[in-house]
Amino acid sequence: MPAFAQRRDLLSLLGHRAGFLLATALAVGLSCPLADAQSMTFLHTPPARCDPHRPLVLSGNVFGVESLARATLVYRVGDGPWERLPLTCHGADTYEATIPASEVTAPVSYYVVATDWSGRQSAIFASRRRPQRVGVAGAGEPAGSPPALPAPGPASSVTPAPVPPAGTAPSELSPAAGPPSSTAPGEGLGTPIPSGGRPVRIETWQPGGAPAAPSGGTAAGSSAALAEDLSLYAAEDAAYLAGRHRQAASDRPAIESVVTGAEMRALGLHTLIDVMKILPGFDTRRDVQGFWEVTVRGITSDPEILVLFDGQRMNDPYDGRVLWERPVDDLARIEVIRGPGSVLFGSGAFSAVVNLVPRRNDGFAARASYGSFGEVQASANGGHTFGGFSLDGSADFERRDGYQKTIAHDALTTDPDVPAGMTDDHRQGFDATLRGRYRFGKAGSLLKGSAQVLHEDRGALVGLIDVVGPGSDLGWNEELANLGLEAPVGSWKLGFDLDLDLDQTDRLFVLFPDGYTQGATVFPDGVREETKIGMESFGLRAGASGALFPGNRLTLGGQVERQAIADFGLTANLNGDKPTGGEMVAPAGIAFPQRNPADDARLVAGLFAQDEWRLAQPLLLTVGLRGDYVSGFGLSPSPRLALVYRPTRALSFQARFSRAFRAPTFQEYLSIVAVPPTLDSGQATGFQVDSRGKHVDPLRPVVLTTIQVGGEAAGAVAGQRATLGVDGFWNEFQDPISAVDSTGSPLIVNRDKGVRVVGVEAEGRYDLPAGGFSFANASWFRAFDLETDEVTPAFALLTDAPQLRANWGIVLPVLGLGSFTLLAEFGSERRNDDRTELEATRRYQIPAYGLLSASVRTRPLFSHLVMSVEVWNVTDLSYLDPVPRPDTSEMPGLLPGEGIHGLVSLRMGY
Amino acid sequence: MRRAPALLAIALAPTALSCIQFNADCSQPVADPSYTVTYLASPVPVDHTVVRTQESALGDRMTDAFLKALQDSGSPPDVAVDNAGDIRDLGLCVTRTELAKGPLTRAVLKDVIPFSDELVTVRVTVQELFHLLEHGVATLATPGNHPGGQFLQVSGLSYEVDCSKPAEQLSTVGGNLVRTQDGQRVRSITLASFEGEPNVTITRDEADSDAVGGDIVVALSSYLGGGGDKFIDLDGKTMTKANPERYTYTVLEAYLHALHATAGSPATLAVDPHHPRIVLKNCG
Repeated sequence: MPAFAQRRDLLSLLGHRAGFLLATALAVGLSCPLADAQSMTFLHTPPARCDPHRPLVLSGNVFGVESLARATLVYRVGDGPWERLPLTCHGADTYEATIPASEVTAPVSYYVVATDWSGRQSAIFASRRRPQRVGVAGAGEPAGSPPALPAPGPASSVTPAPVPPAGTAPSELSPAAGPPSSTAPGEGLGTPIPSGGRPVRIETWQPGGAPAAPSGGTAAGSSAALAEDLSLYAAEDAAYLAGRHRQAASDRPAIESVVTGAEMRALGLHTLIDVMKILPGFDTRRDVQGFWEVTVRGITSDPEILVLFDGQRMNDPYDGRVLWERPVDDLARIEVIRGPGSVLFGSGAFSAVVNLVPRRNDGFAARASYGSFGEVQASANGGHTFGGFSLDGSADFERRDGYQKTIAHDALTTDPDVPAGMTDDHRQGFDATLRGRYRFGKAGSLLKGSAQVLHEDRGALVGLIDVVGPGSDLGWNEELANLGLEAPVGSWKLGFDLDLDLDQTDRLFVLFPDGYTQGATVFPDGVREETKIGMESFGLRAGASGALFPGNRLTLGGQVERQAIADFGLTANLNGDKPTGGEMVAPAGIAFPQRNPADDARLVAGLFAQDEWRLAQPLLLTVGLRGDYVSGFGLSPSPRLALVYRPTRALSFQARFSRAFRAPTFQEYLSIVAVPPTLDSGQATGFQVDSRGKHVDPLRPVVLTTIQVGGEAAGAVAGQRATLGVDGFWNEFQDPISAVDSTGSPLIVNRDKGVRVVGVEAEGRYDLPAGGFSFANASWFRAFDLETDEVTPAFALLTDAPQLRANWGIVLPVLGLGSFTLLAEFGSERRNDDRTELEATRRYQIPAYGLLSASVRTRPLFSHLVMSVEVWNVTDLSYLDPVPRPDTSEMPGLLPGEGIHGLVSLRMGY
Repeated sequence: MRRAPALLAIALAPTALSCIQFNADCSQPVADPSYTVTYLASPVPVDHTVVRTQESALGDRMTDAFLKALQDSGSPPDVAVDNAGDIRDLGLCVTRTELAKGPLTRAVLKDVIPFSDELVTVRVTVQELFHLLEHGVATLATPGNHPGGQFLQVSGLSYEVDCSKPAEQLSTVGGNLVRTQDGQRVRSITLASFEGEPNVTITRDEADSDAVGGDIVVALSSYLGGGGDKFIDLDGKTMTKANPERYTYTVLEAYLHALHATAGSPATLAVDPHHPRIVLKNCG
C-alpha cells in the first residue's frame, strides 16, 4: 500500500480510537475530593486598586476543587480586625466573595483559606503573614502598599522555584482565571502582578525604600507563620509545563525553571536567546552562518529542543531551527523543562521543552530602545476585556547594523597582512501576535484563537563554511495560527486545539566572493547558492484531565499533524563547475524531495496517558506512557516515571525516569549540502536510493533515556527567604544524529554506539530586602561518544561545549531611585571534539570566558514611565565561538563574538 | 584577548579542580596508538629543511608504498609521487627532526604523517610529468624562498635537477593562475619502465620538442590529484580511485609493517646512495 494511503488509514483509525479512549476516561471520572488541602490552589488575579464605597468582588478558580469542602476569604480593612467571608461557588471551580461596599473605605488586605473534607485548613492564596493588598483610590496607601507603579524589580524567582500564575497557561485543561479587572499595581507596564504572597517585597516598595512591616495577625517567628513563610512554594505557586496542567510546583515531575516577564525586564533580557543564556544546564553560541545554537546538557541540537508558544510548536519542521531572537516583551513568563517531555509533547520534546506564555491582561505597554551598532527596538503590547471576551496583541520591531569584527584569515587568504573580511550581523526583525479568548457558559468554557507572524531578514555572520561571504542574505517568515476550545465536563476538563504553522526560508549564501578563481576558471560574480524552502503543518491536539479517585489525576491526550514540504528550491550560479554568467540554476546531481511523496511529507501522531497519584501525603507518583508514530520511522513508546517525596513544605526530593524519541528532521534526512565548485555534488547517503527506490543507509530515529534525581529546599538566611535546588542526571542517547567530519565535509550520521552524558545542576535564589533578589546557578556535565570510546577511549570526550557553566545575577533596589542589576555568566574552556582524525586535526582551544553585564532602571517616572540603561559585556571580553574549519589555512581565528554594547530604553505602561 | 578582571580570573579557578577534562592532546585519534609499526635501525630524517630539498628515506618508502598498494589494481601505476609537505616535523605537541632509532609506534608515525588522503592515479603526458617535477623544484635554492612543500618525492623514476637553470614562474593573469615561465631545471627523467621498456631516460630537450609521446600513470594523493599545492597541470585531471579505496597513511603503515622488522632485526630506511632518485646539481 502506498505510504500516503497508509497515512489516511492510520488517521481514521486514530480518530476512532481517540474517541473510545475519551469516552472511557469520562466514564470513569469521579468527583471525589483529594484528601489534602495543601494541594489546592486559588488561581486569582487581584485587582490593583478599587473604588471606595463600592463592593469589592474577589473571584478566582480553585485548582484541586475536588478536595475542597469550603473556601473562606479572610480580610481586613486598613489596620482593622481580621474578618471572614465564605467564598461561594459560581460553577465548576469558580469561587467568589464580595466585601460589602460599606467596608471598602481603606485599603484592603486579604488571603484565602481552604478546608478539605477531612477538616484540614491551608492558605491557598497569600497568607496571614503576607496578605494580598488592594489599594483604594483616593483613600491613601496602606502601610507598605505599592505606588501606582512599583519599584523596578522582579516579581518572583528566576530559578528554580515556581512562578505565580501571571497570565494563564497555554492550552491548560482547567479553565483559566479570568482576566484581571484592572491593571495590577507594580506592573502598570503591562505585566499583571503575580498573585500570592511571595512577591510581597516588590509590592510593598515605598519611596523611602523601606520594606513594609509584616501585617499583624500571626506573630512573626511563630512556627506556623515561619513554616508558611519558608515553604518551598507558596501554595498558589504553580506551573503548567511539566504536568500539562496547572500544578503545584512542589509536585512537578520534571526539572523545570520559570522566568517571569518582570524578571526578564529586571535582568535586561529582551529576546528568547537572552533568557536561555542564564538558565542552568544551557549554553548558547552562534555559528558562522549567524544561527544561534543552544546546548542542553552538553549536546547542541535545535531539533531536540521543543519551543512552544502558548502550547503551539514554533520549531521550523524542516530543520527544527528556532527563531531564537524572538522578543519577549509580550510574555508573562517562560517555562523550561530540562530533560525529555516526550510523554506529554511527542517527537521533538527531547532534551528540553521551552514554553512561551503570553501576557493576558488589560492595559497597554510599550518600549522604545536605542543602542550600540545602530540597534533600534520597539515593542507594544496590550489587551482589553469586554465582558466574557478578551483581546490582546503585541508587535515588536528590531533593526540593527550589527557588530563588525575582523576575520583575519579565511580559506581564501593568501596575504596574512590583509584581513579576509568583517562579521556581518545586520538584522531586521518583526513579529506580531493577536489573541482572543471568549469565556462562555455557566461552566466557564473557553474558546480561544491566536495568530502570530514572525519575520527575520539578516546577513550571514560570516558565511556558509569557511569563507567570508559579504552579501549573504537570510530570510525567514513564520506564521502560526491556533484555534482552541476548553470545556469542563463534570469534574473533567477537555481541550481541543487546531494548529497551523507555515514557514518560509530563503537563504542566499555567498560561498566565494566576486572574482574568485578555481584553477583556470574565473567566477566574476563569485559563487552563490540559494535555498528556498516552504513548510506547511496542520495539526489537531486533544486532551482530557480529571480525577479517577481521591489523590489521583489522569491526563489523556492525543495529537495528529501533517508536515509537508510545500516548496523546495536549491539554485546556484554554477553549471557543473563553471559559472552560469549570473543565472541561478539548479545544480546537477541533487535529488529534490518533491520527487518522492514519502520524502516531502510525513504524518506525526501520538497518544499519551499520564496518571498522577498521591500515594501518601508527602509522596506523589507520576506514571506516563506515550506512543508516537512518524511516517517512515514507525511507532515508538516513551514511558515516564517520577516520584516526588515532600517530607516538609520546605523540602522536596524527586526521582525521574524518562524515555524520549525523535525522528530525523527533513533536513537531516535529506542532507542537501552546498555545491561549491571544488566539491562533488554532496548529499548524504541517507538520501541516496538504490535501484529499487529504497533509501541507502537512511538515518534512524534517536532515543534518549534519562534518569534524574534531585532535591529542593527553602530556608531563611538572615531573615530572608532562600531556595536551593540540586539535581543530577544520566542521559543515554541511542543512535544520536551528529554532523561528523571524517572526509573534509561534515556528514550527518547516526553514531552507532550512542552518546552518554552525566551531570549535575544546581540553582538557588535569595530574596533581598526592599524587593531585590539574587540568583545563581551552575551546571556541569561530562559527555562521551561511545563509538569513539570503543576504538580510541582517549578521544571519547565531547568537549565543544563548556563542561562547567555558571550564572549569577543580582537586582538591588537603590535608595528609592530605582534598581541596579548585575549579571555574570561563566563558561569553562572548550576544545574541538576528536571523534575522527580530521576533527582531531581541526583543533581549536577556546579559553574559559566570563561575561559581565550591568543595568540600571529608574523608579516609575510620572507614574507611567521607566527608563533603563543596559551595558552588556562590560569588560569588552574578546569572546570566541568555534568554526567548522579552524585549520591554520582556513579560519584559525575562530568566530569573534560581540564586544561591549549598550541599550537605552524607555518603557511606558497604562 | 584583554586580560580578564580579577573577578573573572577567580571564575577560571574551577579548571584547577579537575572537573574539566579534555581528550589526549598530543596524539592523533588512532586506535591502539602504542602499536609498533616497525623497528628502525637508524634515525630517519623528517626535518622539513631536509625532506623538502632532497630525496628522503621516508619519502622513498611513502611512494614505494603507493606503487605496491596499486600493483594489483586495474590500472597499475608506472610511477608514484608525493609532496614533501605530507611529512610534518611539527607534530601536535612535539617538533621532530627525525624518527628515532628503535620501535616506531603508530602514534609517532601518525604525528609525522597526519594526513590520510585517498590514493588515486592520473594519466599524464611526458611533458606534463616534466612540468610536475619542475613545479616541485621551483623553490629550491631561490633567494628569499623557503623550501616549499610541493617538492616531490618519487618512486618508479629518478630525475636530475640543475638549480642554475631558470625555475618555473606562476602568476595570476586575468584572475587565473598560469605559468608565465617554464622551468628548465629538470634536465632528465629516467623511468623504471616506459611503454614496456625498462630504464627509459627522457631528456629535457626531448620533452620540449615533443619527441616522446605516450601517457604515464602516476599514483599520488587525491590532494595533489585535485591540484593541491598549485600543481596546475593536475587541475581538472580525471582521478581514478582504487577499488577498494586506499589511503596514503594506511598503505604506508602496511608497507612498513610488511618489512617484518623486529627489535633484533630492525629495518634500515635510508636513501640508496648508489641509485639516487633525485640528483641535484648547483642547488646549494
